Amino acid sequence: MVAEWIVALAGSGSGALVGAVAEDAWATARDGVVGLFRRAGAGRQARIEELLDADAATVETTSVEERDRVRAELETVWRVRLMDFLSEFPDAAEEFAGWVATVRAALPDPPPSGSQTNIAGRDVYAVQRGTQVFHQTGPARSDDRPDV
Amino acid sequence: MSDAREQDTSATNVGWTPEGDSPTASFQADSKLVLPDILVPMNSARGANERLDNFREDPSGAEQRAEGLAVIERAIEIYRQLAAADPDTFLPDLAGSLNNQSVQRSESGDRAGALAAIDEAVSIRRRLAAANPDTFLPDLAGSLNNQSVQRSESGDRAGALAAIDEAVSIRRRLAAANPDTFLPDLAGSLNNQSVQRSESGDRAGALAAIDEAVSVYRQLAAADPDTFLPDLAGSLNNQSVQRSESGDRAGALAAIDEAVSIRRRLAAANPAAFEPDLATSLDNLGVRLSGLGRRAEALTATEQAVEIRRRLAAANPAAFEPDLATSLDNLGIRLSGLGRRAEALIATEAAVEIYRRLAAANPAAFEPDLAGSLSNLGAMLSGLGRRAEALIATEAAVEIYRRLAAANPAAFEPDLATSLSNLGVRLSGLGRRAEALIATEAAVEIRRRLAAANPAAFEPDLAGSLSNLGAMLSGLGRRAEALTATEAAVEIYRRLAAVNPAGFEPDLAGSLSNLGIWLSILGRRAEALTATEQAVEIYRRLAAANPAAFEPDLATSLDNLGIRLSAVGRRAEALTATEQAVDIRRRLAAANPAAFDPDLAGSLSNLGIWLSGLGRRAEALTATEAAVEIYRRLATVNPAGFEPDLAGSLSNLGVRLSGLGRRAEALTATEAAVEIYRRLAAVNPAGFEPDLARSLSNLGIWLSGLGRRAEALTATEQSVEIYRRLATANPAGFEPDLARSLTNLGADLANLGRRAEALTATEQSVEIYRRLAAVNPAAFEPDLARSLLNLGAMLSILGRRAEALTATEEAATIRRRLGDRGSGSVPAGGVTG
Repeated sequence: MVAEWIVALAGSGSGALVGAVAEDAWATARDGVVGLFRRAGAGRQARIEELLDADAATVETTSVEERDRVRAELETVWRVRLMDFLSEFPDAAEEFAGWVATVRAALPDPPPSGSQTNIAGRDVYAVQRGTQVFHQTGPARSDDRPDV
Repeated sequence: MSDAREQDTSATNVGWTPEGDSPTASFQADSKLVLPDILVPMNSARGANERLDNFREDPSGAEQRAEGLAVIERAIEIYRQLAAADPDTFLPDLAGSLNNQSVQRSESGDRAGALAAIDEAVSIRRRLAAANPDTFLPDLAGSLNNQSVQRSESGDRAGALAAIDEAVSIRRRLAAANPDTFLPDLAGSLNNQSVQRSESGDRAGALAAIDEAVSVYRQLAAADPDTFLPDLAGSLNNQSVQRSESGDRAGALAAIDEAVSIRRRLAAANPAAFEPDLATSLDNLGVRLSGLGRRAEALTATEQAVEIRRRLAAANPAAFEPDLATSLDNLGIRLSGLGRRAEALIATEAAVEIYRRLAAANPAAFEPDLAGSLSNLGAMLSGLGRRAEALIATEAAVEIYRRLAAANPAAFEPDLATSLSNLGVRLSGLGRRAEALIATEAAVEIRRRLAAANPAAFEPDLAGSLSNLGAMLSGLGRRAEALTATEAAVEIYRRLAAVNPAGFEPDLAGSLSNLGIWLSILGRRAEALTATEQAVEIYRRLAAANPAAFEPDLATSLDNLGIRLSAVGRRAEALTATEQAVDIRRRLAAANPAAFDPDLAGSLSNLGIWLSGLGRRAEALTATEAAVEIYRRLATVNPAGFEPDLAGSLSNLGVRLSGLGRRAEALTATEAAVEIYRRLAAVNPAGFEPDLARSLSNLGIWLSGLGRRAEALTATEQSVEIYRRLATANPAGFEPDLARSLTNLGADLANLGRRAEALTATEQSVEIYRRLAAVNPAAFEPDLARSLLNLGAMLSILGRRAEALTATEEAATIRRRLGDRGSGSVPAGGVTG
C-alpha cells in the first residue's frame, strides 16, 4: 500500500498541474515537474517534457465544453505518474510540496488540495431518445363487394 | 425510446415505432374488387334463380346461403343428367350453374369448392366457344373473369393473372366489334385485371388497367348516367387505390373524392341501393386523408362510414355486420392516429367481437377477418402499454393464420408472415428477445420464399421484415448481423425507390434511419451519420411537398440526426437539428396534443442533453423539466403506456439537476425513476430490468456525490447484480453495461476504502472491455481507456507501481490514438521507467 502522504501529495500535484494547463501558471507548473524529474535521469526527464507539452496541447485544442472531462482524465493520468515518482523518490517530497504551493498560488481558482482517489470514469446514464423503426404490417383489407 | 409514424399503403401498413415502445399496427380498408358474374339459368332452374337473387340480397346470411347452395346443387345435378343425354342443349346451362355455384361456394368460404366449380365451367365454355365462338365467347370471358377471382382467393396469383388477361383479351375483341354490348364487360374485366396486376406487384400495369377502366366508364356514364355512374364510382374507388400504391397521394385523393361525391348523390336518391357503396368509399377516403396526414378529416370520413354501416347492420345484421366490423377496425386506426387510444381500443374490440361471432358461425369465411382484427387489437393494446394482453391478441392472430396457411399456403402465407412479424414486435416489447427473433426470422423466411417466386409483389414486405430482423438481432447484441440485415433492407428499398420514388422513398428513409442506429452502435459513427443524413434529406423533400404527411417523420429523423452529430462531437449542429425537431413537434402537438405530445417530450429530452453538453445547463434543465411535465401528464391518464417514458425523463432530470449542483433534487428525481422501474420490472422483468439497472447506477452516483457512500454502494451493487444476470443470458447484449456498472462499483468500493474489492471489480471491467474492444475497437476503446485509468489509479494506491503505470500509460496511448482519429480526448501516453 502506498503511503497516505504520497497519495495526498500526488493528488494535490496532479490537480494543480492540470488546473494550470492553458493558464498563466502553466510555465511555472511545467518547469517544476521537469525540475523534479531530473532525479529520474535525462531520458525520463525528456520524456516527461514531451508528455507535458502534448497534454497541454490536448487541453488547448479541446473544445470548451469538453475541457472539464479531458482535464479530469488527465488528472488521473498525472496522479499515477506523480505517485510513481514520489514512491521512487520520496526525498523529493519537500521540493514537490513547494512546487504545488507555488502553482496553486498562481491559479485563479485552485482545486481542493489532497484530493482523494478520483475515479475518472463514472458513467451517468442519460436516457437518450433515438428512433428505431419497426416495420409492421397489418392485414390488407378487402372492403369492396362487386362493383360492376 | 422514441418516436414513430405510421403510414398506410393499400397492401400493407407500415408502423414506425418508438424505440422500446410498442408499434402501432394499422391496416386499411381498400378495395379489392371481386367481380363474380351471376348468370341466370333458365326454365327448370327458375325457382333456383329467384332464391339465388334472394341470397344475393343477403350474402352473409348463413341460412339463406345454405338454402341457396342446396338449390344450385340440385340444379347442377339436373343439368348434368340432361347434358349427358343432350350436350348440345344443356351443356351451356350446366356451365352457367357451375359458374353460379362457384360464386356461392366462395361466399361461404369454400375456396377449394369454388375453384373446382369455376374450373369446370371454364373448361365446358372453352369447348363450347371453340365450336361456336360467336355464341359462347362472351360466356367464356365471364367465367374466365370469375376463375381469376377464385384463383386469386386461393393464392394462385400467376393463374389469376393469366385468366383475367385472357378475359380482357376476349372482351377487347368483342368490344371492338360491338362496343354497345361489350364495352361495359371490358371495363369490368379491366378493373379486375388492375387488381390482379397489383397483387402480382405490377403497379404500373395495375394503374394503366384501372385508368383505362375509368376512362371507359366515364364515356359510358356520359351517355347513360343512370346505368353507369355507379360503375364509374366503383372504378374511381379502385383507381384511388392504385394511385396510392404508386405513391401518387394527391391523385389518389382526387379519385376517391370523386367516387364519394358520385356515391353521395346516388345514395341521396336511392339510399337502400347505394349507401353500402358510399360507406365503402368513405372508408377509403379516410385511408387516403390519413395517408396525407389530414387525420381529423380522415376520422370524419371513417365516422360517417361507421354511422352508415351501423344503421345498415341494425336493419340487417347478417348482411352488413362484416362491413361494420371493417369500418370499426378503420375507426380504431384513425382514432389511434389522433392519439385517442382508449377510444381506438373500444372500436377495435367491437370489430373483434363481431368477427368472433361471424367466425364462430362460418369459420372459413370470417377467420381471416378475425385474424386481421386481432392483429389490430394487439397493436392498440400495445399502444396503451397493455403489453401482455397485446401479445395474447397477436398470438391468437398468428394461430389462426398458421392454421389457414397450413391448409392453403399460397393464399395465407403472406398473412402468416405479417402476423409473425407483428408477433416479433410484441415479444420484443416484452423483452422476450430470443422469442422475438425466432418469430421475426420465421417471417423473413416465408417472405424470402415468396419474394424469390414473385419479387415485385413481395420484396417490399421482405425488406420490412429484414429491417425488423435487424432490430431484433441488435437487441440480442448480434450487432454485425443486425447491420447485415438492415443493409439488405436498405438495398431492396433503394432499388424499389429508384423505380418508384413516391412509393418507396418513405420506406427507404425509415430503413436508412435504422441503418444509422446499428452503424452507430458498432462505433462506425461517420457512416452512421451519413445514413441518417440521407434519411433526413429524403424526409425533408417529402415534407416540403406534403407537410402534413411527412413532418412527423422529418422531426423523428432530425432527432436521430442530433444523436449522430453529437456522437461525432458536432454538438452545436446536434443542437440545431434537435431544435428543428422540437419546433416541428411543438407545432404538431399544439394542433393535436394527444397524438404528438409523446414525440415532443422525446425531442425535449434530447434537447436537454445537447444543451447540457454545450454547458447551457439552465436551458437544459428547462427542456428536461418540460419533458417530465408532459410525460407526467400522459402517465396520469395512461400509466401503462407512459410510465416507462416518465421514468426515463426523471432519470434525465436527475442528471440535469446534478449538473447544476442541485444534488438533493437530483437524488429525488432519480429515486422516483428507480421506484417506477422497480414496479415495472416486478411485473415484466425482461422488459424493464435493463432500465432499472441503469437508473440504479445513476442513483449510486448521486448518493455517492452526497457522501452517502454505503447507500451508493448498495444501489450500484444492485445494478451490477442485474447486469450480471442479464449478461449471463445475453452476453453480447449486456456485457457493455456490466462492464460500466463494474467500473462504478470499483469507484464506490474505493470510496469506502475497500481497495482490494475495488481493484477486483475494476479488473473485471477492464477484462470485459478488452474483449469487446478486440472485436470492435471503435465502439469500446474509449471505455477500455477509461477503465484502465481507474485501474491505474487503484493499483497505484495499492503501491503496485509498475502495473499502475502500465495500465495508465495504456489508457493514455489509447486516448491519444482516438484523439488522432478525432474521436476523443487525448491525454498523451507512454512514460516508462
